[in-house]
Parts: sequence; C-alpha cells; structure tokens
Amino acid sequence: MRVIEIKNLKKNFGSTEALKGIDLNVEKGDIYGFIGPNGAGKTTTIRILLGILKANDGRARVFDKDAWQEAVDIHRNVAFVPGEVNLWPNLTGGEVIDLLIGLKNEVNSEKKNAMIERFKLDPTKKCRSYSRGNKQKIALIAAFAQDADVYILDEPTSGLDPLMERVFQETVREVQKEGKTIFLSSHILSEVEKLCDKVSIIRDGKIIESGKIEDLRHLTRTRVRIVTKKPVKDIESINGLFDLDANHTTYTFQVETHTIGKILKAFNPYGIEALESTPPTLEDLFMRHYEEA
Amino acid sequence: MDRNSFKGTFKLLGLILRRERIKLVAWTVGIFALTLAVAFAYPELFPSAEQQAVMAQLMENPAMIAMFGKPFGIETPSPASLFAIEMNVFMLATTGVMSILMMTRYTRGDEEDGTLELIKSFPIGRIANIVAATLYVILANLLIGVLIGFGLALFAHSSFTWAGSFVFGLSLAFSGIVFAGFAALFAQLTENTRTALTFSFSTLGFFYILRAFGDVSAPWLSFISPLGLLHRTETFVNNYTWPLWIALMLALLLFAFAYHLNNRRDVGSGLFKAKEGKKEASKFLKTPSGLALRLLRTSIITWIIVIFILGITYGSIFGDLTAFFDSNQQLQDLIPDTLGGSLEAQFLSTVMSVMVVAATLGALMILVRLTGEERKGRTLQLYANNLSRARLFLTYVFVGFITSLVLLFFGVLGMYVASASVMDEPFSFYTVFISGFAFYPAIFAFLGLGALIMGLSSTKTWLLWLYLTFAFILLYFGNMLDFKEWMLNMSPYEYMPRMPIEDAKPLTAAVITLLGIIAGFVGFTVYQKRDLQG
Repeated sequence: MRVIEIKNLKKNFGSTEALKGIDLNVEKGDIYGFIGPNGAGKTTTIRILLGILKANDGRARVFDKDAWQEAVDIHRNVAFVPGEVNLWPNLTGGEVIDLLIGLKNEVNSEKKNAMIERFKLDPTKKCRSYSRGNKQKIALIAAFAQDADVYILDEPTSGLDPLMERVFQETVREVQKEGKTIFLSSHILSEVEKLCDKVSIIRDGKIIESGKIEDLRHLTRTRVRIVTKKPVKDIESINGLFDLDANHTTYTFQVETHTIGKILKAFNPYGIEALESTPPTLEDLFMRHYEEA
Repeated sequence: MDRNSFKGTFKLLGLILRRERIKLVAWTVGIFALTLAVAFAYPELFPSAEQQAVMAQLMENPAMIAMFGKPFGIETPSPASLFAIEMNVFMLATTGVMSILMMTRYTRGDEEDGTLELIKSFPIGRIANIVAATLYVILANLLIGVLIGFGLALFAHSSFTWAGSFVFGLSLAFSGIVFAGFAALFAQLTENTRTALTFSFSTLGFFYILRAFGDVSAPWLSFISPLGLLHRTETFVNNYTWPLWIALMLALLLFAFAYHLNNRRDVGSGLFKAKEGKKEASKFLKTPSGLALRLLRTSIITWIIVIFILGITYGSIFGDLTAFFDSNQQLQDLIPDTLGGSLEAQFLSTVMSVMVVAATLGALMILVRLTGEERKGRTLQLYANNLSRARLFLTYVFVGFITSLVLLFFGVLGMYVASASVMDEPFSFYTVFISGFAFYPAIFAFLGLGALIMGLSSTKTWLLWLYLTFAFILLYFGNMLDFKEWMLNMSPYEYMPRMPIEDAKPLTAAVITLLGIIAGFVGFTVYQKRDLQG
C-alpha cells in the first residue's frame, strides 16, 4: 500500500524554485530516508506533505488523500517532528507533550511515561529552559506516544547526543515492527544507512537518486586491495579497474560491484595472498553527487 | 565594572543603528510630522484672543485635565501655550512608548533570541550591549527633541518661541530617556520580552494615571510621575528647565541600577526565577481553546485590571466636573443646552472614548497573537496534529471577540463605580453602559480588520497598529482640532453615536458590524489558503 505519493511536485518562493518537480513513493512499512544537503528542499517537501505550504504544481498525497485539501483528515494518522522545535516558553515539557498528543487522541499515560523514561526527560521544566536537544526529545516523545500510521521526522536527531540517537533508532525500529511507516529526512548519512530501507537523495530541488539502499550501493564502486604471489601481467588489459595503483605485487583499485567476480577470476592465476574490500558507503555516493554541479 | 566592561560599545551601537535605521526614521518622521501638523493647525483654529480664551477655559475642566494634563498660562493663552496644553502629555507618553519598545528589543529581546550570546562570544565588554542600547535610545530621543525644537521655532506661529520650542522638544526626549531607563531595568528583572514589555508599559500607564489623579486633585502626585513632572516645564509659558534635570537624574539612576544588575547576572536569566512546573497538562489545556486561553491568560487578566483602573480614574473626575460647571457660569452658557442631557452627560462620551480605544487595543493584541505564534514557528506542530486552520483561527477570533466585550464592560464598570461615588446625581448604570457600548460596532470592525490582516500575512500586523493610532488621534483630538471630513470618514469610531446625548444609530451600527464580519470572513478564508510561515 502506498502511504506517501509525490509526483512532479513544484514549489516556488517568489522567483526561487525550491522544488523543481520531484517524485517519491513511500510504501507501508518502509523506513524511508530523505537525504540531501541544507537548503535542498527537504523541509519544503515535508511542509507540503503536511499541508502547511501549497504546492505550485504536481501531486502530494498521503494515504491517497490530497495533502493540501484533506490535511486535517490526513493528520489524524500522522505524527510529526519538526526540524527546528519551537515550544511555548511558559508551558512545561510535560504539558506540551500532553497537549500535542491530546490534540489527536486520548493520552496513553503508560506509553507516554515509557517514552519519557526512555528519552530521559525531566518534564517539569518550563520550555524556555530546555536545551535544543531536550526540545527535540519533547517533540520525539510526543510523536512516538501518539497512535499514528506514518511518522514524518524532519532531521529528528540533529540535537541529540549519541546515546539518545541510539534510543531513537531503537524506537524507530520498534515502530516499524508494528507495521508503521517512517519518513525520515536527514543529512546524517550513517543514521540513514543504519535505519532506512529506501532512500531518495534530493539536491537543488531535484531528486537525483532514489531506491533501495542495496541498489544504490550497486551504483557505487567497491574499493579493493589485492596482494598476489606473482606480479600480474598485462594488468591494463583487465577491464573494469578504476583508479588503479600498482605497487610491486600490491594492487589497489575500485571496481563496479557487479564486475567483482570477473575481476577476481582474472587475478586468480597469479595466486591471491590477501584480499581486502571496503564496501561502498552512502558517504561515497553522497559525495559523488555533491561534487557534481 | 572596569574599562573592559564597555569594550565594543560603539561597534554594537553601529550594529543597532544599521539594524534599526528604517524604524528610527519612521518613528522620527512620525512624531515630528504629528507635532508640526498640530502646531500648524492651532493658529488657524484659534486666530483671535477671544477664541483662545474660550479654549483655555475649556481645558480647565477636570475631564480635560485628566486626559491632557494641567493647563498652564490660561490667563494669557497663545496658540503655542494651547498647543502645549493639548499635546505635551500625549507626546511625552508617545516617546515613552517608543523608547520602551526600542530598549526592550535590544536588551531582553536580543537575549531571548540568542543573538546576544553570539555577540558575547566576541571580545565585547560585559555591559557593552546594554550601554549601546542606551546610547541608541538617547540618540533617537535627542534627535527627535532637537528636530522638533528647530521645527517649531522656525516654521510654526510666532508664539512658538525658540526657548519654548526647545524645552518642548527636550521634554519629549527626556521622557523617552526616563522610560528607556525603566525598560532597561525591567529587562534585567524579567526572563522574557513579553513580561519585560508588560512591566514597562504598566509603569507608563501607572504614571499616566497617577498624573491624571494628581493634576485633577492632588498636585504632589503629578511630581512623582515623570509625565506630570516633565509637563511642569510649563512650555511656552514659563519654560522651566528644572524638570528636565530631575528627569535626567532619575534616568541616570535607573540606568546605573540596570547596568549593575546586568553586570552581575547570567545571560538568559532574570531576577524573577522560573518555578518548577506541572508534569502533566490539565484536561482543559489539551484543547485548542484551552491552549489559546492558557497562552493569553496573563495578558487578558492584565488588560482587565488596566482598563478597570482606567475606568475608575476617569470616572472619578465627574465629581470635580460638577463642581467645575457649578462655579463657571460663563461656560454653562457656552455649551448649548439644546443637545439635551446634563453637562456631565456631554462629557461622558468624550471620556468614554479612552476606554473604547483601550478595549480595542487590548482585544486586537490578544487576537493577533496567532500571527506571533506563527512567526515563532509554533503553529506547525499544532497543525501537524489533526487541528484544522479554521478551528485555530476561529479560536483566536472568538477569544478576541469575548475579550473586547469583557474589556469594554470592565472599563464601563470602573467608570460607573467611580462616577456614582463622586457625583451628586450619578449616572444610571445603563447610561454609562450605553455610552460605552454605543462604540462597540467600531471595535467589532477593528476585530474584523485584524482577522483580515492576520489572514493575509503573519508579518503585516503593523498596518493594524498604524490604522488604530490614526483612528485614536482623530478620536482623542477630535473635540479640539478641525479634522478634514474625509479623514474622519476613514475611522470607524467617528460613525458611532455619542450617547447619551446623541440618539442611537441602529442602521450605521449594523453596516459597520457587517463590514467587520465581511473583513473577518475574508481573513478566515484566505488564512486557510495561504502558505504558513511555521
């Protein structure tokens, strides 16, 4: 079942084109990563999905309902964590959590208190005295203590410490097990890599890459280091080696992942003594796209 | 405090001037233009000595004294002295408002936004920021004072002497500086901008009321109020300068105290500490209207108290008013009896207009808090949680509407209670009530306009304040100044009947109310269709 559907979505702010026609589909049960540099259009996309901004062109649908027209209906089943959490300075953290949950459904105290416990928040302080990370925790607690089918999270961990980041990841996985969908925008690659099944990379208001993490890994090259017994003759004739560096019998190079078998066969006759391969990271992928343009 | 405490003051002053240049020009031009426009009007309004004498006598009545301050030089009035009687206190309060806004913005405001923290990471002295803000406000006030001095002396009627013009201009400047001192102090004591502003404006209001009481019945009270004190310059009559020096000393004391507190407290903290709060939200808070009421609670209660005190203050002048009319046969002849009603009744509506504007201002400030919530990025999370724009918008409109009724009622009540206790033949409650609520359609129209502006944009509320100021000036000075017909036609207040001396105008009331509903409905519709800021 399709939970989020975005098709040819465009948004202009005055003469600036923030979104230049993006496409994106999120299926039920996905943890979907939405990554890109600052100012690429992640938050704009999310705000359109929430019906806060009106698209100039294209389709944005959640649960097969129009994000703008049927915003309130959609929000019945959406939990959201904004990128920059702004809270009422004169309310306490506990009050804000209750308030945000209470707008949607009855507050499930057990679930809520478990979340407060888990994220280690003191809910009795006024919001003006919370740090950025603590404000973010409030938004996360409020979101995860709700009964929602899709969780839209805009850079949810940017203020959290590593311990809390791990708590966050655990929570997201638990939520996924319950069959919920998570749409997560981020520029922290390791997080997306650890959590997400699928990603879309946005840059300058355009989706430049989209698909399963494994599929995207196929797009990038694996770095390989081989030590052979005998020097390899005619190494140049082996197809598919990039950035080759030959030093006596040690060879380092990059290969396209799908050609790796063929290449190993070519090395085999010379007696492979050691073999190291470094899998591609999203980082490599990301950097490749950043460096373009 | 040592030399290093001030390091970087001038750099910060430059920064403030750059950030604030447009506002500075707007305030200066606004205050200068208003002062000169009124100064030009006076010689035309009262060309003969006879007319000037009548006007001077009118200004001697307690209702007028409470509103405008004690009149000086009534034995030998000139256009300039009449101008000072009418404009001085009002303008003293105006520069006070300006200075409070400026000072709070650059002290507690910057601290709350977190920009001060960034600035303090540079080699900048501990109190450089507050000193720079002080210098800025002083410069702004002196600029306005000196411009007005030159403007009046050079361009206005010959009775506007050089000495008088400069004392007038400088009294405005020093009033601004004194209230900047109060604002600087409250910025240290409180933990956020809103509270700091509330304290500062309450102080200004308190001194205005103190002056009103003092001028009407207990002169020594007026000397305690900076507004009353600076009015004692007796501009264009005696041109005393001693009030200026006392005001300056008071300002220096306030600034010194504020600097002292600033120097020893942590960035971001205030002297009034925040208490530990509740762990859970009450059932009430979990609804949109509950949230709105919770956020607006303090403001609404403060406004109710303010307007009630204002009502009592103005109501209490009716006793003096009766005595004044009894002792002044000439004036009794002057005011035509044909209008019907007692002499007091004729002033009821005039005095009531202050209550009406205060109720409008209070209700509008409550209403447009929704745009503040949007600007601060707090509506985003509400809307993401299954709350419709229509519902939140209507919540604020509804709270604004109820607030306007409650505020006007408490103004009326205060006025009734006080006037009943001081008059020999008091007004009935109904008379006072109808006099105030005859204006209500105009307040309603303002609410509609507020909803319209709020629907269009989250950053255009200044249009509303500009328009309200304009309407207020027409209403406040309408009795004395000859405004052009087309100007009067632009303010909803001017269409309202002056009850009890005029008859009710149901049709006009219906039309104005309808306009308010239409404006509000358009605002409601466009709010649901526009991009939100956050």
